[in-house]
Amino acid sequence: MRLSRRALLGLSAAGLALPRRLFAASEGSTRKFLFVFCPGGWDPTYVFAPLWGVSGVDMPPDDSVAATIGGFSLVDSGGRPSVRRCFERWGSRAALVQGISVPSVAHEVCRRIVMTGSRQAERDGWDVLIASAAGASLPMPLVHLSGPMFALDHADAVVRMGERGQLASLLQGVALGQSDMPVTVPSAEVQALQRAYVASRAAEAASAAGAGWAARQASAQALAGERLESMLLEADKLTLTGEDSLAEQGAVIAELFEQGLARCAMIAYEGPNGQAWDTHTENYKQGPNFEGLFEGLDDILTDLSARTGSAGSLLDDTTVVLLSEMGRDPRLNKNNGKEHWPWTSALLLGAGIRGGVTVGGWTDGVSGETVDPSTGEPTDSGITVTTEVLGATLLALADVDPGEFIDAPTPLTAVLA
Amino acid sequence: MATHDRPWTESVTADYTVANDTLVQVFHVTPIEGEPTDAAGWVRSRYTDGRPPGGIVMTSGFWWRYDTTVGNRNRSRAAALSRLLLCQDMLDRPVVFGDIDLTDEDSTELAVLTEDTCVSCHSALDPIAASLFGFWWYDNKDDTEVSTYHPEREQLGAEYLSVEPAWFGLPLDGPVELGWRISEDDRFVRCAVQGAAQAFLRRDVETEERALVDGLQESFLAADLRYTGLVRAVVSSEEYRAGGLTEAATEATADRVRTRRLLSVDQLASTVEDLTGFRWTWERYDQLDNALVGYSVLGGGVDGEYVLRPAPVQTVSSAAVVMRVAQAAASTVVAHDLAAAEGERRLLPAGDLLVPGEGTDAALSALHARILGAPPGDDDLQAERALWQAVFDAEGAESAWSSLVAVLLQDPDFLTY
Repeated sequence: MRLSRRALLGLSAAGLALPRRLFAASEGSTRKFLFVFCPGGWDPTYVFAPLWGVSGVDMPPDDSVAATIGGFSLVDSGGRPSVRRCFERWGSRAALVQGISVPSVAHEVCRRIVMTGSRQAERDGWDVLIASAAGASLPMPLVHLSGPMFALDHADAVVRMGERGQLASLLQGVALGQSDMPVTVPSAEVQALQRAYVASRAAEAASAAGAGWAARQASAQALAGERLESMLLEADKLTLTGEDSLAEQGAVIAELFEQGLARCAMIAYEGPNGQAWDTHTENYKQGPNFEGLFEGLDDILTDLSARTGSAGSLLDDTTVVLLSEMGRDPRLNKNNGKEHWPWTSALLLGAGIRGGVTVGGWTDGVSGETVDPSTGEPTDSGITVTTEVLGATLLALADVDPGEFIDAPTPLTAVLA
Repeated sequence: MATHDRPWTESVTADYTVANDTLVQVFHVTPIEGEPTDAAGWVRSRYTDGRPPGGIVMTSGFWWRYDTTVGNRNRSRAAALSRLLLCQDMLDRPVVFGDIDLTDEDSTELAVLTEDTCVSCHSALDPIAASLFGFWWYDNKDDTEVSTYHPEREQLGAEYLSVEPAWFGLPLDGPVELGWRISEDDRFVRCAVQGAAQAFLRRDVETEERALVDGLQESFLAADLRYTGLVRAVVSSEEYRAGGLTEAATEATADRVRTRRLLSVDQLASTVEDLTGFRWTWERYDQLDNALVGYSVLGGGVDGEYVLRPAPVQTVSSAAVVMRVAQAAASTVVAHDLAAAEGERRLLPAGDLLVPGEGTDAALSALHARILGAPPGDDDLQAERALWQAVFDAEGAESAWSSLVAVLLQDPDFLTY
C-alpha cells in the first residue's frame, strides 16, 4: 500500500482500502528452520552421551541405562519416556552431532560462539543469516520468540514477538488499552489512513536517501512499514500468553511457516518450570528438563508432520535444530551440580537431514573426537566439530553459501540428505 | 554521577551509596543524617553491615546482577569488573584447553596457576576475585545472606584461590582499596570515554579512531572527570554531528560513521514525553522500559541477557511499537490541548483548531515545525492538509489533529537524528 502522499489528496477515509497481505504467500522451495535453544548449558550425559565406563564421569543418579533407540546410542530412563518416544518416532529423520567444541565457559560468550561461530560480535547468528537470505520477500523472516539474538548487519530480518504476546498485543491494538493515561483508539479507517501516510513518507525518505548507511536506515524503515501492514492481518496467529508450553509456542511458529510468512524462528526452552539448565546445584533437574524438551519436541514434530508443506508435510520443509550453549562438567561438584563444560551436542531433525546419523563422539577426556565430515565417523585425521562447522552445515541446509560468511567452511555432509 | 555532576571516580570510591524508600527496606542502609532527598526520591545513604566504601563496587545490587558460582569463586565477578570498568573483556581472549585434563579437578585448579594459556587471564583475574569474598554467599536463596556483606569472609579469597588480593599486580590491602585502585587505573577513565562515545554515537568505536577517543579523554580530564563535560565533548565532535561527514568521505567511512541514528527506545519514550506529556505506563510499569512484560525489546532495546545489542535499524517490531506509542501520545496530547485554555496547550499551536479555515495551514505548519524541527515544504504541507481534511471529514477535528501528530511522530525525520 505504497501511496504517494499526493495520492492522499482528495481521498476520504473510506476511500482507502483496509490492510491486505503484501507479500507472496509461500516461498515454496525455501527450507524453514526452527531453533530450540536450551539456555544455561545442558548435560549431554542425560540423553546424548552414554559415557558409562569413562573414568571421571558422573552419569545420572537414577535408573538410566545405555540403550539403542531409533538407531542412536543414547541414555534411557523411565523418568524420561518422551526421549525414548521421540527417538523411536523421529530417529529416522534425526542426526546427532556429538562433541561440538565451544571454547569458553562463560554463558554469553558460548551463546555467541554457538550461534555465530565467533566469540567476537562480528557476525550475525546462523538464524539471522538464513532468514535474511529470504530477502524482502517475507513479512517475518526470523521470528524471535525468546532466546539468544545476534543481529548486526541483518537486524531488519528479525521480528521480535515477545514471550508474552507483546507483538500480537501491539498489532491487535490491545496495547493501547493498557495505559494508565486514557487513550482514544482511532477507528480502523483512520488508522489505515495514518499507516498509508507513514508508509508513503518512509518510501519518499528511502528514495531520497542516496547510498550508504542513511539509505540502509531509510530502506529498513520503509520495509518495516510494509511488513507491518501485512502482519496486521496475521495478528490473531501470534497470540501468546507467557504461560505457553513449548508445543504451544511451536504451534504458533508452525502456523506462520505453513502460511509462508516466516522462514526461521528461535524459541528458548528453559525447562518445565522455567528452572533452566544452568545446574551448578541439583544437576538432577536436567532429567525433567530433557523430559519436557522432548515431550515438546515430539508434539512439534507431530504438528509439523500434520500440516501441509510445499510438496508433502510441513516437516518436509522444516529443519528443527536443538542446541545449548555448552555442556556440563562430567563430574558432580560438592553441591551435586555440574560446572560448565566447553563441549556439547546438538540434534538436527526434519527437512534435509539424513536420518539415523551420529556425527563424532567423545574421548576419554570427554572432549569431542575429530571426525570425517563426509561420514561423521571419528578419525584421528579428521576435523574438530567447531561451531563454524555446525554453522556451515546449517547454512548449507538453507542453500546459503557458507563461504560468504566462514573462511574455508566444512559442512558436515554426513548429515545432509 | 552525571545528574549530580560528581567526578566519575566517585562511582567506585564513594563512601556512600544512594537509596530510595524501597531500597532502605531491602538493604542494610540508612540515609545519612541531614542529607536531602532529591526530586526522584534518592538520598545519600550508608550501609550498616560493616562493608568498606567503594561506590558501586561495594553495593549488593551490583553483585546480585553479577553473581558467581561455587566453582567459579568470584572469577566471573572479577571479569565483570574488568569488562565494565576497564573495557578489558577477558572473555574475548581465545581459550585453548590443550592437554589439560579438565575432568580432573586438581589438574584444572593447578592449570590456572601454571599453564600459559590459563595464566594469561587467571593471573589477573584470580587476585581480583580474591578481593570479593565479602560478597561470598553460602546460600544464594537466603535473603539475609545475599543482602548482607560478610567482613569475616574477606580472607576466604586467598584460601580458595591460592592467591592474595591484587588489582592487576598491585596488592590490595583488603577490599577497602579496590575502588581506589580501579579509579587510579588509566584504563578506567579511558573506558568511561569509550562507553560514552559508543553510547552517543550508537556504534562501536573502532581501533583506528584513537584520535577521537584521545580528544574526548582530554575534555573529560579538563572537566575534572565530570560526565557532563564528557557528554558535551561527544556531542560537539565532528563524528557526532551530521555535518562532520563531508562530501569527501568515502562510502565506507560514511557507512562506519553512521551520522544518521535511529532513536533508541528510551530516547523515543523521553522525546515523546517531552513533546506530548505522554509516558506509557500500565499499572505504573513503564512499558518502554520493561523487557519482560513491556515493549522495550520489541522497540529495539536490549534485555541484558539474550538481546545484548540494540537494533540499529527499524524492524517490524519496533515499527509496531512506534505506531502505538505515536497513536497513544497523539490522542492524549490532542485531547488535553483542545480542552486547555489558551496558553496552556502542550503541543498544538494557539488559535481555533476545531473548524477548518485560513488558519489551518498555519497551524499544520507550526505543528510540523515543532515536532520535526524544521518548517514543512510545500509538498509536505499539501499532504498533511490532505490527511487532516480526510480525517476531519470522517471523524472531526480532534481525530484529525491526533492523526497529524501520530504520523509526524512516525516520520523518518523524527525517528532518526
